[in-house]
Amino acid sequence: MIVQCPFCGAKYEAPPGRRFYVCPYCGTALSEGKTYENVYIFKPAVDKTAAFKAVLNFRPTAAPEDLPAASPVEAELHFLPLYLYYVSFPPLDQLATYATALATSSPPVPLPPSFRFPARWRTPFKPTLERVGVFHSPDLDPEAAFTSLQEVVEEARAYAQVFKVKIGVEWRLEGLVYYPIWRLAYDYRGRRYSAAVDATDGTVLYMEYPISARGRAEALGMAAAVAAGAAALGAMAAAYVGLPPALGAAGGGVASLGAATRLVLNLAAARVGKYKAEKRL
Amino acid sequence: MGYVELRCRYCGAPLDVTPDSVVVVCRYCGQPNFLDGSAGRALAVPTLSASEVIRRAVERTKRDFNLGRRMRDINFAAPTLLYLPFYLVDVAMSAVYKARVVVSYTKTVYVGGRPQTRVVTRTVDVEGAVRLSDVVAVLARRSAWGLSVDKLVDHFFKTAPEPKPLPEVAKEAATASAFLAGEFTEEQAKAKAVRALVPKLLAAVDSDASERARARLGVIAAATSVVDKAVDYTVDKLAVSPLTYLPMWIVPYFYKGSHYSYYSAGWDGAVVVAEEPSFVENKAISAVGAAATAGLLGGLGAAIAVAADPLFGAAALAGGAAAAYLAAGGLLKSRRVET
Repeated sequence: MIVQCPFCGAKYEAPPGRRFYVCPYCGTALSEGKTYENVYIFKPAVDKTAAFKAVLNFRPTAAPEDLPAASPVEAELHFLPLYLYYVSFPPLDQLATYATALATSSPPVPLPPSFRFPARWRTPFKPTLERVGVFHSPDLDPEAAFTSLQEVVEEARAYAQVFKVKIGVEWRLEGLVYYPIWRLAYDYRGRRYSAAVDATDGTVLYMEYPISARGRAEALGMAAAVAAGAAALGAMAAAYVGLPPALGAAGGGVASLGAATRLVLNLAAARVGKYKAEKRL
Repeated sequence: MGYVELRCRYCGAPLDVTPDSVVVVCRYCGQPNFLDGSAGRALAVPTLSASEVIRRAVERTKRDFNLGRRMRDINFAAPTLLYLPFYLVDVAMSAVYKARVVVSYTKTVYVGGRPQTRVVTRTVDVEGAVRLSDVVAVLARRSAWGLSVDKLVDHFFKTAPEPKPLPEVAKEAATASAFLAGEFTEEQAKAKAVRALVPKLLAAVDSDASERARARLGVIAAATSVVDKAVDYTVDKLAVSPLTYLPMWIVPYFYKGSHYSYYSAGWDGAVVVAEEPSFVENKAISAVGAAATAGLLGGLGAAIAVAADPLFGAAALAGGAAAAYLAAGGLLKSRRVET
């Protein structure tokens, strides 16, 4: 169905039956046909230049030395929708807390598995006609998204158990929060690569990067060195237990293919290098 | 995206406030304004100056095995100060338990005058009580901070710097803006501390039960496993400190133009977590690991497969290949973490 945004007038396509509709252009949220007022935002603290700098200076394995000189071509701020909950654990009122959970099943950039969103440092959001970024619509039910907050519930349960109190879990939806992420594209020697940066703190979440000829050669060299070392060690091990050294050398060489496979698939023969953030320091 | 405008309590000038502000020093009259009612009670550990923190970071770099020899390619940039809010929770818990423990031990018996070793397995029911107390530092924010916060806390307990009242520490604008607001109440901090202590208490129950079971049977060296237990906890003490701010500096440096960071404790400049490039010598260690596992498992595997047991040999070979695949992960990493 086609939705017309009551604030900026833009029309956008959205599947029917959703609890919230968010205008991708200005971020105005609709719920049950009316403008939904409880919308908050985490302010982007990292600008386009800083985001590009974080990515191009990151230098993953086998990236070329002159990657910082690559040309930035596209930067788009994406706002991920989060549900803001007020969670309480009757009768222990003192444990009540705010928490946020990702409200979309398909975020525009891959997020690290343990990514946790903050709840408190949001500010009220007011849409403007000035274009600030792309706003994504929630497609999960608040009930479904709440299940990702298991940790919050477990914590309260552990506390209640010790004091031998039986607690319930109650939550109410307090609003929508937008979380900013930069989606970037840059050109290096005529090819385009993409990257994503957390716009609240500048962490590189994901990046594609060119693999330099030197990086490929080094990967092959390492694979060869591992194979040679494994073959030599295999021969010695076999000789030590009184078996034919040639068999041992062959076995060591074959087993080293495990390492070679990884090096070749990820570096030597890969079209682009890929980096994914694991956890924050 | 506007904020509610707040004004200085002393001169009435508008304040630059973010949702994260705890204390804001007025740009006009220089007086600190505390935004959170409880901030008056809060404590903070004073920090060294930025230049002193950098000086210690440079010293650490010179001493570092990998970085020290590459000082010429390393440049430090301006560090960022963060004052992170913690609650120090003093928890004491006791547990009364009943447990069933399986004890296995070896016993030498004489059969027809000749010694023989036998494995004896016995099941013992024991009961007892354990007590455990600890001070747990709980970060009062639910954000995705990782290793650096844990190491900062470890260093805090090890060096025990003296916290001072927040107003004495947050006098200058640069320091004041570094304070991050706490997200948790004291009660939530207690909940987190209790949750952190429960697994330790259960581990203490297991070891106490094993000890008692061994003593009951009169054996010293015996393998034990607790198969069933009923534990009843009581909290003897649960006291929480005022919100305590610890200073952490993020010290960025560039090695050949790429960006890495140190995480330093503000009170003594010690680097608690260092992110470093993975150099050729670090990669060499991974390569040696991959070659060693592949060579030993693969070499012996292939020889055994042909000479003795094909199935066992092939399994060892496959295991060697899998281990080499895993070890090669170290060759793909561009950064490492030293603590």
